[in-house]
Amino acid sequence: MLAYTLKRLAAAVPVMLIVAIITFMLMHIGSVDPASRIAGELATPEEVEKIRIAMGLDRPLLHQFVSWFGQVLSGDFGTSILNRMPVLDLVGQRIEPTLSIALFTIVFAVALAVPMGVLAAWNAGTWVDHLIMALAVIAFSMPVFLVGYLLIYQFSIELRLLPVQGYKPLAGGVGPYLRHLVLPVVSLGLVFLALIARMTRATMLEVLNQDYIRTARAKGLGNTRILVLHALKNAANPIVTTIGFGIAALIGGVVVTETVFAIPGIGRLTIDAVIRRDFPVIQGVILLFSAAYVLINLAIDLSYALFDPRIRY
Amino acid sequence: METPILQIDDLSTHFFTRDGVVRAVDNLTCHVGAGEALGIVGESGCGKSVTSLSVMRLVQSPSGRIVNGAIRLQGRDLLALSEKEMREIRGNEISMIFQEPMTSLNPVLSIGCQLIETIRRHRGVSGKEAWQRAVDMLRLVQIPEPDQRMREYPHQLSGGMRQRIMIAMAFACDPKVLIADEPTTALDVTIQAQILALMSDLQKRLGTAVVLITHDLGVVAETCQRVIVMYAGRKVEEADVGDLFDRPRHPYTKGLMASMPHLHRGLGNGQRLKEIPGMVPSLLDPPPGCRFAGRCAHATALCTTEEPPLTETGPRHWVACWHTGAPAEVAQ
Amino acid sequence: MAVTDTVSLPAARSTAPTKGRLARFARFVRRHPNIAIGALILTLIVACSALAPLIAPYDPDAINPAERLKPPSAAHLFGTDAFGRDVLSRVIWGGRISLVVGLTVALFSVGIGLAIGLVAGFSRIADAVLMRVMDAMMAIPGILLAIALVALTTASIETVVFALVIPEIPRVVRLVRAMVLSLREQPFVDAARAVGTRFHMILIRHIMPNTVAPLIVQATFICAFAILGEAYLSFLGVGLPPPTSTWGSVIAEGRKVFGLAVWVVLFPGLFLGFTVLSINLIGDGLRDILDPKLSRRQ
Repeated sequence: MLAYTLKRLAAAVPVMLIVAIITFMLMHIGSVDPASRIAGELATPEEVEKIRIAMGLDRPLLHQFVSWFGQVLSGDFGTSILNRMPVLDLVGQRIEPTLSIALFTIVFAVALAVPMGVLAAWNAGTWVDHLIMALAVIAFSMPVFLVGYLLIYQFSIELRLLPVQGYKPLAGGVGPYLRHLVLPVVSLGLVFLALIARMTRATMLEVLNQDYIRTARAKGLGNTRILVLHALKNAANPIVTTIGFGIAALIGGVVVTETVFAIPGIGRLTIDAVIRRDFPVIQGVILLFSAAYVLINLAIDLSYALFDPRIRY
Repeated sequence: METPILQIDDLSTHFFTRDGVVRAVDNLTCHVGAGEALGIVGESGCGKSVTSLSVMRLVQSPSGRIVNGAIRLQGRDLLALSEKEMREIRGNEISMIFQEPMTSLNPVLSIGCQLIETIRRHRGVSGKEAWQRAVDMLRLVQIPEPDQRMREYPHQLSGGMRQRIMIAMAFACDPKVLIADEPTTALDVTIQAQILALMSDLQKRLGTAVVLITHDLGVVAETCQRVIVMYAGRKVEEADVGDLFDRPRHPYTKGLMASMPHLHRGLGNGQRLKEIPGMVPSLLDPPPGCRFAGRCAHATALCTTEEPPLTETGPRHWVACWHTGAPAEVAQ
Repeated sequence: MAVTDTVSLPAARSTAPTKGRLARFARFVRRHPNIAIGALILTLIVACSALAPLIAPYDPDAINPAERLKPPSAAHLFGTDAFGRDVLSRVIWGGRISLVVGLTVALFSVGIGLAIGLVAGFSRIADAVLMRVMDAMMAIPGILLAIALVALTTASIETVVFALVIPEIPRVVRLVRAMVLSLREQPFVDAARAVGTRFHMILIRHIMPNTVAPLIVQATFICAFAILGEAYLSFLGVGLPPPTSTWGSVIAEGRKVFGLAVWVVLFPGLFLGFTVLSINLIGDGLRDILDPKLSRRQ
C-alpha cells in the first residue's frame, strides 16, 4: 500500500511538471508582453526594459522556467502584479468560499445522484427510469448560470427566502453561512448530479445482470440488501472514478457559479486576474487546481481497495 | 405413489420480445418426490434452466413471464405467493446451485458474509450462531480450515472450492428441494466427479430432493433415479434412469445417447459418435406438431401437423412421439 | 436476473416486410425517441439561426433608448435589453456563432485527438510521452485553461475555438488509444499482418473504420460541451469582443440588469440550454445504437 502510494506519487511528478510547463508557457504565447504589463500603462519603454531585466524576462525561456519552477517548489508562487500580495496569501484569503461550495456540491450531488441512479437501474425500462434519465439529461445540459439566475429569481427575488448573492464566512455564524450556500450549491450541483446519476445507472445495470445478483435473489435476500450491499458495493469503483473525473468540471463550474452569485472565491480571483493579465496569480491558481485534481484522483485510486478485495497494492 | 414434494403442472414460461413470443417452456408437467433425485436433460436452449428459474420465480422480468401452470411445494402453489412470501421460500425451502461458480459468488463480499447472510435471513439466529453454523456447513462440504476460509474472498479460491461453498450455502437452511443447474459443467473433469459425489452424499444424508439440470446423460446416470428429457421447451420423455438407458423410446433421446461415448461398448472399428443432424428449431413461433420432426429420421406427415401426446409406454415411462410403436432399434 | 440458458432467438431478426419509408421512420422514432426529439429541437434552432436575416424582427444591434428593458410583449416577444435592443433578434442572431463554434470545436478536437491517439496507440515511445502530456492537460480544469488561453491572446473566433479544442483533446486521445490497443489484439488485424498488409494500410483500412462510431458519439458530446464553453467564456467576459453577440454575451449583458429584467437572461439561456440538450439527446441515442452493450436491456 505504502509502496504503491509512493509509486503513484512518483508518477504524478512528470504530470505536474508538464502542467507547470503549460502554465509557464501561457504567459509567453499571448500577445501581451509581461514586462510592459507589470510596468503599467504609463511606463516609458526604458522603464519597461528595466523591469524586463530586473524580472529576468530577457533571459532564455528555459532559464526563466527553471528559476520560476524552483521558486514554486519552495512554496513561492510569486506576487500579484496588481496588489503586490503573495499569490499564496491571495489564494488563502479566497479559499474558504470555493472549498465550501465544492464540498457541499459534492455531498449534495452524490447524496441524490446515487439513489436516483440505483432507482433508475432497478426500474430499467419503466417510466421511473425514463423520468429520472430525462431529468438527468436536462440537468446535464442546462447552463449553470441559467439555473443559477432562475433560482435567484424564484427563491430570492420572488419568494424572498434566501439571499440574492454574496457570501458569509463560517466565522460569522452557521446560519447565514449555509443560507448563502444553498443556491450556488444547487445550481452547480445539478450538472454534477446528472453526471453521477447517469454513471450510477449504467454501472448498476451491468452489475444487476451479474450471476451473483441472481444468487443473492435465490438466497431469498430482500431488495434493499441486494441493491445496497451486493450491487452497489460492486458498482462503487466506477462511480467513485466518475466523481474524481467530474472534479475538473466542478472546478470550471465553480468559476461560473462564483460570478453568478458574486462570491469572492478563487474563481472570481482567477477571472479578475485573467482580465487584468495578472500572470503570477493565473499561474498559481492553475497550478494549485491541477495539483488538487491530481491528488484527489490519486486518493480515489487508492480508495478502490476499500470496495474491492481483489485490488491489492 | 406418495405425494411429491415438488409438483409442476402444465408450466408455460414465455419471453415477450420485440420480435414475438419465445416459448421457452411449454406445458411442462413433472414432479420430484421426497429425497428423490430427478434429472432434467436437454441441449442448451431447451428450457431446462428456465424451468428451474420458474420454480424459484426468478425468470427475468418484465420480458419473461410464467403464463400458465402451477408449481406446488408440498401442495402450496408457489405462483400464488406474494414476492415477500416467495423470499421466505428461496434459499430456505428451495435452494439453488448455479453453473458458474466463478461468477455466482459476489466478488466483493467475504465467504463468511455470504454464508451468514443466508442463515441469518432464514433462521433469525445471532451472528455468533450463524458463524458457527456456516463453519459447520463448510466442514460438511469438506473444505479444509473453514474458519480461515470464512474470512477469504471468492477470488482467493479455486472453482471447485467455490462450488463447494455454493453447495454449503444451498444446504445451509436444510432445504426440502435443491435445484442444481449444470453444477459441474464449468469444472475440471476430476473436480466434477468430486462435486457430484459430494452432492449425492449430502442428498442421501440430509434427505433433500434434488433436481439436477444437465446436458450430460452421464452425470444423470451417476446421480439420478428418474430423468426427464426436454426438447425445445417440451418434455419428450420421462422414465427411471435404468429404464431410459435400456429402452430409450423417443428418437431424440436415442440421438442423445448415440452421441455419447460408451465405455463398455467402445468406439473401436472406426465407429464415429453419431450426431443429431440439424438445429434446434426457433422457439419463436415454433412449427406445429412435434418440435423434433425437422430433425427426425422417422418423421411423417402426422408429426408435422399434430403434436404427439405423452403416452405411457411402460411402467413409469412416458414418451411424446407418434412412432413409439416403431421398433426400438430404429435409431441405431 | 440473467437467464443463463440462452433462449434461442432467431439469428437474423425477421424484419416484417418493409412497409414503406414512413412506417420505417415511425418505427425509428418509437425506438429512439431521444434522437427524434433532439433532432427536432436542433433542426428548429439551426433553421432559426440560418434564416436569421429573414426571420429576426429587428436589427439585433439597433439601440432604442425609448424601449429600454421592456418586458415581453407583442412587439418584442422576448422583451428588450438595457439598450432597448430586441432580445428575440439578438437570440436568433447569437445562435449562429454558438453553433459554428460548437461544430468547429467538435471537428478539430476529434481530428487532432484521432491523429495523436493513433500515434500513441501504435508507438510505445510516443505513447509514454504523449499520455503524460494528456494526463497533464486533463489535470488542468478545462474552463480555466480556456479562459487563460483566450484572455492572454486577443479574443477572436479562432482563439475561442482553439481555447475550447485544447482541453477536449485528451479525452479523444484516450478514447482512440484505448480502442487501438484493443483492436490491435483482434484476430483480423493479425490476419491482415499475416498476409503482408503494410502497416499504414492496416491503420487506414482496419483500425480507423472501427473507431468511427465511438468518435461520432464523442463528437456530439464535445459539440454540446463547446457550445456551453463558448457561452461560459462570453459570460465571464473573456469571450468574443462586443460587436459580435453570442448567447453567452447576451446573457452576460443581461446579468447587470437581472433584477429588473429576467427575460434578458432567461431567453438566451433557454435557447442555449435546449440546443445543448438536443445535441446531448442525439449523442445518447447514437451511443445506444452504436454501443449495443449499454442498450442490451431494452
